[in-house]
Formats: sequence, C-alpha cells, structure tokens
Amino acid sequence: MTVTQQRFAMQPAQTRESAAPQIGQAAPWQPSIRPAARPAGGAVGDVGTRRRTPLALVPTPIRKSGRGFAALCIAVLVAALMAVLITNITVSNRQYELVSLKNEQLDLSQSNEVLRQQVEHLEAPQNLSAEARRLGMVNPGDIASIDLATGAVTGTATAADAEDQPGGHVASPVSPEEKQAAAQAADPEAADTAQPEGAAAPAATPEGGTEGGPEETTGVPEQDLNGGTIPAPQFSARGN
Amino acid sequence: MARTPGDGAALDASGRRLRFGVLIALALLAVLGLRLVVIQGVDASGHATVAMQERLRSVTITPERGSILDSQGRVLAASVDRYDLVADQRLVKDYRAWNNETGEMEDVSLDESLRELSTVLGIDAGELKDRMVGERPYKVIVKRVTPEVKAKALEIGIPGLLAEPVSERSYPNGSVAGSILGFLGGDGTPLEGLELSQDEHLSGTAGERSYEIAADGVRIPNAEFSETPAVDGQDVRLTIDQDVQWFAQEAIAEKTESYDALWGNMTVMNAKTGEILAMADSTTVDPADPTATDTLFWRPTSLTQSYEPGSTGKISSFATALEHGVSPTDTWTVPNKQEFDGQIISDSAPHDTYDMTTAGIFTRSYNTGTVQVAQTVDDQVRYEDMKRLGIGEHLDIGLPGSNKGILVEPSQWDGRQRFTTMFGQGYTQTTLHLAQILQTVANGGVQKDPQLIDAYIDADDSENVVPEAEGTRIYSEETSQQMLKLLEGVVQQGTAQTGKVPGYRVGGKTGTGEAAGVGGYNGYTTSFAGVAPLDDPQFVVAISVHRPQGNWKNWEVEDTAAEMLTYLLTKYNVPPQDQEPQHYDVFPDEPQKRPW
Repeated sequence: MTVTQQRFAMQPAQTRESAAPQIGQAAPWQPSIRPAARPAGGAVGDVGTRRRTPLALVPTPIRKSGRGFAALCIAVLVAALMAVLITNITVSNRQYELVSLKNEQLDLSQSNEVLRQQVEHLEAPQNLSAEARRLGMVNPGDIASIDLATGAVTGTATAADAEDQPGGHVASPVSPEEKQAAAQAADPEAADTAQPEGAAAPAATPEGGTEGGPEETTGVPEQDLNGGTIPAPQFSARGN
Repeated sequence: MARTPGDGAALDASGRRLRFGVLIALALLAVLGLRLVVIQGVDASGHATVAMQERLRSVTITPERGSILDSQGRVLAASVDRYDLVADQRLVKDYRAWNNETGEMEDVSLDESLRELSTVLGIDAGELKDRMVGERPYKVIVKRVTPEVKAKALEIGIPGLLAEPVSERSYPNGSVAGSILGFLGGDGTPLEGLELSQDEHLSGTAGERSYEIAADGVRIPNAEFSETPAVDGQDVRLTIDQDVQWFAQEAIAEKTESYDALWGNMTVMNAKTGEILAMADSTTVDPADPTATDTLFWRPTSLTQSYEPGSTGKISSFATALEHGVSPTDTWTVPNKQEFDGQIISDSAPHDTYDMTTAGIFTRSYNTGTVQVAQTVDDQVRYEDMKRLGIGEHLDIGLPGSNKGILVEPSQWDGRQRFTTMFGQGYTQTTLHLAQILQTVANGGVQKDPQLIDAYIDADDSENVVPEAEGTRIYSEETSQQMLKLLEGVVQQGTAQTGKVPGYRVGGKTGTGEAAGVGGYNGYTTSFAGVAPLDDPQFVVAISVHRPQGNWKNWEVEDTAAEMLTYLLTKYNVPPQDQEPQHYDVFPDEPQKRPW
C-alpha cells in the first residue's frame, strides 16, 4: 500500500470518531496537535501505537510536496538562467547592432559628404563659367524689362557680343579627386603644411579603382572580417 | 549492528580524510578571508579606483568646425572627414589572411599586397615600399586620404597599416573669396582671415565620453557611463555672394593685368545697409594652397592697403562744402594754375581759365577750383567730416589686419597739405574707406558700418542674425541729393564717361593719386567709386589699381565699375528706369562742351 492510499484510508475513521464531543477540551492556548491526537487514540483504545502512527505519517505530505518544490526550484532556476542568457545575448547583439548601425551611419554620412563636395565643386562659379564657355555661352547684352502692371517697357535690349565670354582669370578650384591625388603623391613627412606646387597627378590615379573596384556594394559591404562575422567599430574625426 | 575492527579502521581512515579535507577547506577559506580583508579592509577605495581605471575609457568628442557660408547659404568653407594612413613598420611583413572564397587561411606575400596598395594610393610601388618597410613603430604613409581610399587600403589587410581619423577643411570655390575666408595650418590651427577671427564661433566646444569596457573591448552595458556632448561650432553666414565675388575677381584681375599693375582691388557694397557683397583682389589666395600666393594677397587688399586716393577724395571735400552753404550752381573762376597762400596749385593738364559751376569743377575734377570750393569751409570742420566718414579709423568687419589709413590733425598739416587734403593727397585710405564714403553719400547722408558677417547659425539651425547697424547721419538729405547729381555729371560729361550703364542713372568719381615710394612720389593709384541706380541707390562699387604702367591719361577703371554695376543690376532684377540724367551744368553759360 502506498503512502497516499494509507492516508486516504485513515482519514475517514479519524474524522468520524472525533467529531462532536472533543471540541470543548481544546483550550485556545493548547497546541492543536493534542486534541487531534487524543480522540484518535481514545476511539481505538491502544493509545501508544495509535498516537505514533499518525505522527509517522505527518512527514509524508511534506515529502511529497518537497519533490514538487524541488522541481519548481529547478524550473525557476533554469528559467532565470535562460532569461539571463537571453538578456545577455540580446544586449550584446544590440551592442553589435549599434556598432554596425553607427558604422553604417558613418559610411552614409561620408558618402553623402563626397557627393556634396562634388556638387559644391561643380557649383563653383569658375566651373560654371568654364562650362558655360564650353557650351558657347556669352555675357548678356543690355537688358530691357516689361512692367506687367502697366505694360511699360523700359530699357533697350541689345544683342550679346559673341566674343564677350565670361571668366578665365580666376583659377578653377582643385577638384576633390585631383586634390586627393596630389596629397597622395606628396611625401607626408617632407612638407607638413602645404602640398608642393603643381603636384601633377600621378600616372596611376585611382580612376580605375573607383569604377572597377572589386565588391563595390553599398549597404552592408562584404568586408574582410578576418573570418569573423562582426565588423569592428569605425570612427570619424568628428567624434561620431 | 555489531562493530568489527575492520569497520573501525575504515571509519578512522574516512574520518581522517574528512578532517583533512575540512582542514584544507578551512585553510583555503582563511586565505580567501585574508585576501578579502586585504582588498576590502586595507585599501578598498584604491583597489576600486585601479579596477575602474582598467575598465574606464575616456574619449574626447571633437566638435565639428562650423562652415562658412555665402549670403545664399552656399558653402565657402566646410570640414570633411579624412584619414591619415599610418604603419607600424615592425608588423609589416608576409602574413596569413582569411580567404572568403575558399574559406580558409592562406599565405599572402607582402610584395603582392604592396603592389595592390600602390594602385589604390597612386604611389609608386618602390616609394611605397620605402615608406612601409622598416623598424619604426609609427610612420605616416600618406596624409588626408578620403574615406573611400582608406576603406580600399585597409581592405587589402596588410598588418600594421592603420587609419587615423583627421578633419580637413575644404574650400570648394578655390580662390573665390579666399582672402576673406583665410585658412588653417597643417595641424588645424587657424592662421588667417575669418577662420582666425571667427575661430571662437567656428570651433565649438569639445565634449567627453567615459564608459567601461570589457576585456574584449566591447562596452559593458549598464555600466558607468557619462557623456558631455560636444557643442558643434556655429556656421558663419557672410554678406558675400559667391557669384558676385567671382565676377568682381574676374573683372579686377582683367583690369589689373591689362595695366600690368602691382595690385588692384574692388569692393562692392549694398548702398542702403553697408553689407559687403564682394571684396575682390587682382590675385587671391587659394586657402587650400596658401603658400603658392604672395603673402600680400593672404588678406583682402581693400582692407589692408592704404594709399593716397587722389581725386576720389574730392567727394568728401565737396559734400562738406555743400553741407556748409555752397550751392552746386555757384560760379567760380577756374584757371589752370593758381596760388593760394604761397602754394601753387595746378591742374594735371593745361586748360583755359573758365567760369564754372561748383558741379562743373567736380565734373572736370579741376584742383584749382576744388581748393576754392573747399576752403570756404574751416579746415577743422573739413577734417572732422573726414574723420567721421572713417578716414584714419579702423574699419571693423570681423577680419584681421585692417589698415586705418593716415589722417593727421589740421594743426599738424604743413602749408601745402592744407590744400592737398582737399583733393585727396596728403592722407591715405583704403578702398573699403572709399566705398564707405560713397555709401554715406548715396544713402541720404547716413553712414552704415560696413558689414561682412550676416549671421551666426547654431548647430540646431537657429540663426543669430547680426543686427543691422543703426547708422550715423553725416550729411543732410539735401546734400546727399545734390552730391548724387554731381556724381552723375562726372559720368555724363566729366572724367568717367565710360562708366555709363544703358537704362540706368549712374554716378561716380574718378581719381588718380600719386603713390609715395622710396624717395618721394614715384607711381600712381588710379581709382573709381560708382553708385547706381541714382533714383534709388542700391549698389556702391569702389575700385583701385595700384601702380599701373603706361600713361596716366589712358588709365580708366570706371568701365570695370560699369561692367560690375551692370552685372549687379541684372542679377538683382533692378528694372531699367530710362530716366533723363539730372546732373548740373558744368558752365554757367553755353556752350557746355569746351576743350579740357
């Protein structure tokens, strides 16, 4: 007979016999064990053995719930460990994500900067006028204007002079690419403050490199990660 | 259960083992306890600090240097990211690298990688090898490469090759406005121009970031962290328009070249506000390469070079005389040569003695007549007007190196200087002074301080506009109106007839001053100050060309001013007025056309 069966077998007998008459004997300050034990003993007659049997059985429910408790503890522990693990993984993944997003931001802002520099270079007045000359444009003649409110025409427009081309005296700015080439040609430790005059573009400009460069992709480029999967953080000069 | 001797022995043995184990455990515990006491009790805070220092990293956050913008917000100077490539030569050798395709490590020869790097950097392979190979732990291979080149160079994977981020200044317009912008030294120290004078605004405030890192270099999340963010520098927006500046530089360079002069300059000003639209020199420094240009042109010569103005100085003499009772139509007898207080004053070219109006004398720029007109006013009054116009005073437009010119008090004038100051000799001023004087006359007699900086723009795009100067009244409205007609006469029938602009009324005054050199006057400065349109003056242009070659009779710079004014009127959509000229007669009697 298992412990559980015993307990269920015993209980009806106890409650039936101890029902009404014994209640008055238990004073409020007395431990509750005694009134519970006495009626059980009185009913059967053999006080000694009768008392011991239920005492022996008391631990059984504890032992039983102890197993459940242990399982619960282990479950909680495992859950906590899992939670810590997951948190850690998530946090460090976020860290790496942060690094890669920052790198991406830097890449984007730097490629933006390159584009902006190109626009600024093309917008420089010298380059605009050079382009205008190339297209055969000339300075305008005298202008006239029409007042839309009154319809009055003021001024006398004249034809432009075909020879009167703009510009030519102010040197064109050095383009970012030329500047790069000149800077690279210079020995960095020879002249620190300025590049030598008229540093000619070296024979092998990075022209070929800019277009036919291997694996030129944007977004997440296939970088050399030395066998790893996580890119190292990059920095710009401006503390990004 | 009965005890046997064998059982007792086993029990003793296991008991001893137990006791032995307990002793060892206790000993270890004692060691740990002692260590704990040492760490926690003896120097707890010291250890904590050391540990913190091990983990804590502080990084200075460099603020971004502000840009310099033109009046339309176009970039004149900005900072860009660059990298210095540096090698630890001790590590540069053959190496093993991961091959992404085969998925395994393989040997790479250094020579092969260097050849690849040489193509990327555009440096000769031999030269590159010299720079890369050696024993030095720190050797700069190449400075200031773009992020793109840096990425390609590092992709090759040569060990010991590192990139250090640096900031570089970019001047996309080259030498346009170069002398105004100034430049930075190789180490980023501002050396000239606005870069120097506005450094306080441009540079911003550095921040600092402290955080703890783990042994693998990744930041420890939730650990101590503090960050003082950097405050980026302010952008400085100028009153300069880069297109106007370029046009002015083109025009003055052409003029200076055609007369083979030492230098020439032009200042373009808004007549109503004193805002400087352009300050051009015949030669201008390219801030990207300052050493290629003579140091004279590192700053605007309109600001730094003073000279005796010659006849453009008559503008203030006549305005003061008109202010004090002389009428433009008063009649004077003007000979070619005349003696005043023992000083012979003569005109530059011989002419008959004429009866002329005040305006006529100004139109033909006769010195003898000018002295007659100007000496109707007390010397002290004339001096004070000149002083108030700014001659002999520094003009603060936010640029270093302004030249105040020389104007001494009347008490120190010698017998001849008293008269020469009436027609622009015996004192010096800059082209900016000249522009400011004409601006005062053109703006109803109210002088506005010349202004170069329009606004400071914070990193969050909020603008701090520099308030417009209130202005100082120097001449009356009436004097101003009369002066504009006098100036128109010069362009219509006087010394500046090539200064006309079809469709608009233009006024101006020419001048050819003798330039002092070693051993006396030995050259000239020819100048012109013009204003248009006269019905509602908008633009003032002042030009001077220093030490032109050839005959003075052939020099004229008013055509350059007319070209500039035409450009300005068209660019800023000022419609032609087609009004008749309103200048005064040169002679009280007909004919008006007489030989010079």
